[in-house]
Amino acid sequence: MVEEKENVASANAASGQEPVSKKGAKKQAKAAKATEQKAENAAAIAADEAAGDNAADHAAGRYGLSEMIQSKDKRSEREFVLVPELSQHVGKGLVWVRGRVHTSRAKGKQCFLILRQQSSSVQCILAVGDVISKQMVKFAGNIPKESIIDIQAKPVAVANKIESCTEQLVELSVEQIFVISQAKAQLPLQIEDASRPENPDDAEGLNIRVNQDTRLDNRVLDLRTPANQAIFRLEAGVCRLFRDILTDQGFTEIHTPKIISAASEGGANVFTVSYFKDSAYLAQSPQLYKQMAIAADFDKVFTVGAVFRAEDSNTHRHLTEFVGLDLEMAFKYHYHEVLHTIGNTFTAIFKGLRDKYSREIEAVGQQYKVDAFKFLEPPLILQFAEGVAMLREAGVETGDEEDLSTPNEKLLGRLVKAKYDTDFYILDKFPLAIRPFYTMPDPNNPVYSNSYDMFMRGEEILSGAQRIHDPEYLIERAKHHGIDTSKIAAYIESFRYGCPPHAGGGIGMERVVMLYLGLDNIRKTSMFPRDPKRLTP
Amino acid sequence: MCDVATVQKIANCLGVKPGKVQLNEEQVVTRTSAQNKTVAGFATILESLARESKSETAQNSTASREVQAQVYQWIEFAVLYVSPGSKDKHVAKQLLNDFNKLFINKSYLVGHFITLADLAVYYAIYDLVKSLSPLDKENYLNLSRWFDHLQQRPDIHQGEQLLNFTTIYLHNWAQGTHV
Repeated sequence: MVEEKENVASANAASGQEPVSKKGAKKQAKAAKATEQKAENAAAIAADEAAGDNAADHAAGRYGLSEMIQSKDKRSEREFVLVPELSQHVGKGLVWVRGRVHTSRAKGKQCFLILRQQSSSVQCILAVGDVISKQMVKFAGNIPKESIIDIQAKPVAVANKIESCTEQLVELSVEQIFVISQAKAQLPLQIEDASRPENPDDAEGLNIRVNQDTRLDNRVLDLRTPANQAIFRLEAGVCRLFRDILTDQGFTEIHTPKIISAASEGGANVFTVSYFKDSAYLAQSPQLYKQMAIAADFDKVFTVGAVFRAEDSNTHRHLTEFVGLDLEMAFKYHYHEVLHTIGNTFTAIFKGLRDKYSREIEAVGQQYKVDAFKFLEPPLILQFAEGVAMLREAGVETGDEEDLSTPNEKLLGRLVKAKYDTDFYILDKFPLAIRPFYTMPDPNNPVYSNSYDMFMRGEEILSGAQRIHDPEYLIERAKHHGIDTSKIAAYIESFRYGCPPHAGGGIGMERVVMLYLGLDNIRKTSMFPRDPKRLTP
Repeated sequence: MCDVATVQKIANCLGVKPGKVQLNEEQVVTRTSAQNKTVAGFATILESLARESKSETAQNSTASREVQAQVYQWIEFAVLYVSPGSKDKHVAKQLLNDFNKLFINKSYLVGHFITLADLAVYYAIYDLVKSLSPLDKENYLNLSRWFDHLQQRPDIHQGEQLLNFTTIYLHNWAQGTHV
């Protein structure tokens, strides 16, 4: 040390610097030693890396970006397994799985990759060894999220439950990995963020949420979340059950035109389209055509199709375009034959959803708070007057013939829930004054009509009635409502050739799913929603 | 609120003959008792009524110096802030919120017993509560509970129709979506 110091001191003197003190010299020596060490380490690392990169990639050919699949090879020897079935393939050799990269983390000699398939996910491991090279692990760690990959792997049972995946007792030990479709590196929203549940109680939990507009603008990504996958499968279930239940009861499915010449419900909320040299309208409901089908001897019909309402309402429950599930039925003597058919159809739909779609309901419940839907069998039917009495008892002032306002509807729903413990009920005999002109009045009481509404969780989902099937009476009622009968001449004409008494109703599919699950916004149940402010995607 | 009618109501509440109650030239309410003594000012009148009353409310209000002081503060607050404030939309909302928070773990304004303070605030806020919709009453659940509790007493409602609070009891078993 002393030698060094002396040397340093003389060196400094030689280079014309000021003579350095003992302490200063020590410091300088230490600094010199440190930089020397650093340089040595850096050189070693560089050498290592160079050696690594240049080292023979013993896994070459077992990973990489696949060329674009243009249907070149059939590769029918590759058998693909779905993620939920992986547990059946443990210990039976290699399998192929195609899915999306949910997350991918490479750390040193290992890479943990979570593979997602619709609502299922499984953990995949790549570890440097005989089969897998360092370059392969690095490649796997760098695959962008949401890319579609094919992997060949061995399903392995694990001792500790993997909490972050739906497959908790199996993991995949990867041997080959190819990227089939690479995703852009920067995603407009993260699926993890979009799937995160609302948890106001958990102060520690991550609070990143994706707001509705961002979701709807990037709907393709948003729809991949497990909750959305479940919601739309449930929606498909509602349609399927509606069709099956009605078909079993002898109904025929019909399809009605959506481009029509005259506004069906009333001129106010209708979209106009240019029709060659003229203009036409988009149908607000299939009402007229359902009735014509009944007059044409189809007896019991239903139709599933688009409904267009040009209502400038920006609320949680209005869309400008939605799917209507409508039905119409001829009856013998009393419209209650139809009322009970509709009520029982709903009960059957609720039962079907509860029994056959419980997995989907649970998946939705992971992200959104879902209160189980309660209903009675047979469904609860109250008279409009009874409903008004219940509201008055609760302190709400409403007239005998006054339509229920939205807050009153919701309050009545809660009162019914508290009294009868049901989320679904029917209100029969609405006042005539607030119903459309084609509604059949009550023969026993001129104030009321043979019309009904059905409610789920306090919100209206169906409005229906016995229709006037007598052309002269129809003209009389139209005049009473101040409607120009020349405008509805074609409609009246359809009843002139003998028409059975009939009744029916229509529901909005999106609204039913929203209320069944207790979600807060109808845009959550419409795949590509349309409202006054949204026309894309 | 500081008018003849309210004073008479409170007098009846306390079981005391109101005597001659009128507004003087400065529009301040005065009361001339049986002994021909005239008192002016709402708070002062309430105190004088309480002294003459043998009712439970009056006894409670003078239970201790501290209670008396708190009761007086509340009466002042009711006259100066609650009554005029309840007529303004935004102040009213703030008032209702504050009272609702206050009543989360209190059954009465002062101590654990009914006092003049409760009476004063009750009458000051009566019209405002009457104008609330059932949903609003539910949003101010604790205030509604206190109000409903008070109005059930015959000495307080004095034969008038009770305001309807049935929906606040719905809260427990029918929450309702999209309210």
